[in-house]
Amino acid sequence: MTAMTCPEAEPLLPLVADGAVDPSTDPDLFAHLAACPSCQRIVADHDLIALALRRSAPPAPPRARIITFPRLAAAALVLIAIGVAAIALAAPATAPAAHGLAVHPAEHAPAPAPVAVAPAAPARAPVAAAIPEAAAPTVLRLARTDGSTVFLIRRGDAWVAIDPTQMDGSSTRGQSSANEVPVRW
Amino acid sequence: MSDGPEVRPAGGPPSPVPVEALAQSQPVQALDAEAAVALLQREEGGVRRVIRYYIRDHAAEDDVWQEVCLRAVRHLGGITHPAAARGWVYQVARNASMDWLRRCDRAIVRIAPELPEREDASQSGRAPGDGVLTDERIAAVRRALDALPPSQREAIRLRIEEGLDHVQIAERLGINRQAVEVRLCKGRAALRERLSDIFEGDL
Repeated sequence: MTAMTCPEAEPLLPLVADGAVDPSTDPDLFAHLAACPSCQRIVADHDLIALALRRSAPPAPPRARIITFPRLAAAALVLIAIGVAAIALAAPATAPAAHGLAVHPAEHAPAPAPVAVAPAAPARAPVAAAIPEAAAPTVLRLARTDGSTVFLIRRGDAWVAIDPTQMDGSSTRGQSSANEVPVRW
Repeated sequence: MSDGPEVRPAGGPPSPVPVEALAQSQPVQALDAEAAVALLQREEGGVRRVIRYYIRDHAAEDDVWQEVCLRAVRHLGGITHPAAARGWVYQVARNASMDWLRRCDRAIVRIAPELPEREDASQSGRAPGDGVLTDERIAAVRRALDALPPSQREAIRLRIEEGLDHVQIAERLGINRQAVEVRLCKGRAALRERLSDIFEGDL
């Protein structure tokens, strides 16, 4: 290492401030700096000027997000793929699914049970209705053509028709009267 | 200004070296922690002088000095020459001081609206750098930058405000790297000359 003088060091001091040199690349310069208060002061001035410029720098404008066409195309493809997958999963499929397993309709939705209504009694106006089991309420009030009313009460898989005019009063809670007729839907 | 790369000495695994070897002129193998501490004890006065160029608060000066000692002990193992060690310690002191000021900058940005103005900012304890960089001085620096030739002004702006390195600046401006370094050197020197007249040697 050779000793450096101030006239030799001063032109290089802006490079020190800029970080273009360091003790490993220029040990003579930094050995001089370590021992010279005047050159130390010059470097400190450069450093503080840079700090002042950073403090007073105007804020950078926010960058607008520009969605380029490739991104739009990629996003559209993703949405289409999701939609196709959703449609494929919703519809009953007999072909193997994407994962390679066969899909059986019965595994996903039970077949609707057949509905049929048996006439309550020959003397009475027939009560007929076709209500899918899945949508059937618990109690139905139906009006006959003669103006009378019959009630249909769901009990398990069957419906029981009750004619209030035929009630003998012996029914207790939960027990059917003589006029109850099972109705199969 | 540099975001002054922290010096990381190269070299193999350090081996213990007696403190007396530091006084010898021939190269030594490496500095161990004990030798580093001895070196720092000898250099403390000079290092504190460097710190005071940047920081005017005595409490902050002590904190930065401790930081310098920690960094030096941690990284001095690869230094193979005493003179190189002194230059390296100087660089550590400079980096630690600037890191302290940048941390204060971030603190000032967060809390500045709530703090009252004080006449003697250097004694406020709010930000050690404020004793050196008052609002008036910062404004003067900005005016000095605006007065530079456009080529130098743009190079300095890209380097300091946008943090681009020399290669990036060269690409942005369409010049070679040497031209960038020339513009930066001239621009920095011109700034300091303008501002030294304004601040009378106490920037």
